[in-house]
Amino acid sequence: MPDQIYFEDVGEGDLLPEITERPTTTQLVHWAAAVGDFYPVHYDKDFAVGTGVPAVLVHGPFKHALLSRLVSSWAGPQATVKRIACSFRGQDYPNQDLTVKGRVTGTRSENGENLVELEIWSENESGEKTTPGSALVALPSRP
Amino acid sequence: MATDTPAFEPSLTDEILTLVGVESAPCTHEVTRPGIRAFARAAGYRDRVYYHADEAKRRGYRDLPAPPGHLGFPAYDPEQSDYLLSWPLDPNAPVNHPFSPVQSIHTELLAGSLDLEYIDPDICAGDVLISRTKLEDIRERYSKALNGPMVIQTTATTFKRDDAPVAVYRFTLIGYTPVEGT
Repeated sequence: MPDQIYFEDVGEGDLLPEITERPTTTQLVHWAAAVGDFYPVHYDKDFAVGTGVPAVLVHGPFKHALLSRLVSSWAGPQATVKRIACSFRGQDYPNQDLTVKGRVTGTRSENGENLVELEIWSENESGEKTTPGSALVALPSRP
Repeated sequence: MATDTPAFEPSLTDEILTLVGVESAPCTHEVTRPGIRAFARAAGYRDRVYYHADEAKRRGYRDLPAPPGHLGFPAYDPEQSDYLLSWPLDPNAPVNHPFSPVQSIHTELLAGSLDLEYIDPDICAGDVLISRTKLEDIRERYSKALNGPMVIQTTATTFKRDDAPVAVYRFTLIGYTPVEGT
């Protein structure tokens, strides 16, 4: 079972363990089938180039899912992911490193829940933030 | 007033602009074990809880839990569903799913943002969710990057189980038509 992090152990500025993926077109096809999004810009290079982009594009919601994985993996099995939001500011392409990162921006207790606010984002190989966002999770208290 | 924005022919008609606030027909989403495994596999999860029902139940779940972002799969019907995007598509309905109505205005689509808020995140295999998509905003502006106009729309899709909301999926989509030479 994955490790659990507790509310009392979290502080503003804490960094989440980053995750680097190098999505292949095969993985994008897996994604397309998993969510039912067969829009060809994500797997048909000729189609993609015809739309004015240089190559097939990594799905935006795939990056949202990677950010969700970053948050849920860090937060642990007893945590509750309450919100994951991101903007798709830059394109990402297959066979390039895509790293998702996060940082604690605030903690508070509200209505009996221990809430942690996070800044999350993805970076491309050049270190550019292509998918900035935020998240809110509820963590358990240390027993 | 001087402006450096080239003039363009607006593609948003008054008819489209009046669709703000309009809601789609309900759509059924089935949350299944194969669907959860496929989503978890595609997103790179290694945790056994998303793949083995015994492990899920040992950890207190009713069945395989849906990873964050997975809200089931629209029940596909070859006579009614969008072939590329899998959601129901009624050509006579002004708003169908998170890709309409911009899908009917421009040929190319780009995801702009995604905001998923859970009200009840306890979603597991075997659940059936019902969604309705509401058009929250639609506007048009000139894009220097695209060298032409683009339409930006935001939809909010509310998912319910047994008539109780479980999640709101707010999606911004950009539609444009490629201009030669860009």
